[in-house]
Amino acid sequence: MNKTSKPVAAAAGLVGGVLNGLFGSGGGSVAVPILEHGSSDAKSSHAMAVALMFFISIVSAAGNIVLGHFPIETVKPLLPAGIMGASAGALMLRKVDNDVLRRVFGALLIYSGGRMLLK
Amino acid sequence: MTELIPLIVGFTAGAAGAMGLGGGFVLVLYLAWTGTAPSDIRAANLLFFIPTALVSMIMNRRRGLIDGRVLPYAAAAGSIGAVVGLMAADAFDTDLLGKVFALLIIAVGIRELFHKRTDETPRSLKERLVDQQKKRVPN
Repeated sequence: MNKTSKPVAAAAGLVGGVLNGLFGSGGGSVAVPILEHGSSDAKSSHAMAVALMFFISIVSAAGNIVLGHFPIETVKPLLPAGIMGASAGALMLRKVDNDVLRRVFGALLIYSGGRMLLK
Repeated sequence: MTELIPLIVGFTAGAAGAMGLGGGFVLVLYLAWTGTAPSDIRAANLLFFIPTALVSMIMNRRRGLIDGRVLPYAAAAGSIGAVVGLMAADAFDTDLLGKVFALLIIAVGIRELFHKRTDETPRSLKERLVDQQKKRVPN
């Protein structure tokens, strides 16, 4: 694991949080490259971004609940498989090549950005 | 067969989310296909991510991929940022901002997709075999 400095971690958190608050998602897509800038290890950056987005998502979800959006019945049928997928994903993250991880992430960002542009 | 779709979507979204690849894109496509309202899609995406990210965070922390020394700083700044972003969403034209954000993540995506390999990146098997052959046959 490469060490990330506290200011870089805080900057990733702040930018990721503001973007997630504004758009409801997508904060992690900017938090990852900020963390990578402070630590060249892509795996650690992705793992840190997931942990960071966990806290941000709690705040964003609370905001949505206050606004009356709590679609737990929609989420319930997806959760058991989601938990199993998350365990598999965490195991894969440890084994995946840093280079492959960055390229797959890049391709998915281009796809997501393209969808947002065309919406 | 249709009963399998939520399982496949849940598993794929959970795995992609846990790897920091943004599992939301799978979930959003599926929920839009099932006719879920856009505001509920956004909230459902967040509700799904919380437990799956918790599993990933615990496993990654055990394997030493998360620096527990700096995570509280990132989490605190992120939580403040999320509140600021939620409040700012009402004050700004998020459609226009969304297009700017889309261009930003496309630029980041191009940088990640076409990045040069770094020394820290594990080398391919082919490169390692070439190095081994060079050692065996000195010039």
